[in-house]
Amino acid sequence: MLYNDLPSDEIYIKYSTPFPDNSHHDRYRIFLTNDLEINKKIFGTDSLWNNLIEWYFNSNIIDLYLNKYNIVKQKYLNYSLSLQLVRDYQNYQIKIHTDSSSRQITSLIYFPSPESDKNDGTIFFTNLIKNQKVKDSKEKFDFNDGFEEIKKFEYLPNTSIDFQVSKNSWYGVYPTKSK
Amino acid sequence: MSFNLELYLHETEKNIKNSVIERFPFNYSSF
Repeated sequence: MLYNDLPSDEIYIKYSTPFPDNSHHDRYRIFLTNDLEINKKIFGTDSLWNNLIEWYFNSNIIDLYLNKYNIVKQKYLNYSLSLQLVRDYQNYQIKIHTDSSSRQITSLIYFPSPESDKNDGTIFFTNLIKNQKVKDSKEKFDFNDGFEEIKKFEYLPNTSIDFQVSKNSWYGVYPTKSK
Repeated sequence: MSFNLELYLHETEKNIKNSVIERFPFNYSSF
């Protein structure tokens, strides 16, 4: 089972905490690659994770996502995937942001533990201040900074969210309660 | 504690220098 094969703490790399803009707390991650030998060391020899990661990198998932969002491939552009396994501790939050403009599509798959709080899911917002000046696509805003919730996802198993990154793809996560 | 698998699809401009190397597979620094 994928949840049972999640790697132990020491394999994750810690984000600098807090971020300089105080927007991001208690997040750890592993950058996943298509190297089966490394993946076996991370997840174990017989882990289903090895198959899943291999599938992500060797399938036509890029084309599937591009088709889903009616994005026409441009000859002068390269399209690539990056895959991260993320571990967030209690009180992790990420303020409202759109994701970097170098990203076309973001996809999140939840792996909650039995003790996880279902209120810890991703929230999408609309920008109420039409002239909100955004300096760059990495800028983050406070939850009460002129945004309104439009959709909140429950942090439950078998949940995946994907969206096309744009100047309007505002989303964030409130300080989490899951222990 | 919570876990997520996060997938990002990136779009980057093709590197023109690399394209030249593909077409002329030698060390173009010798020009």
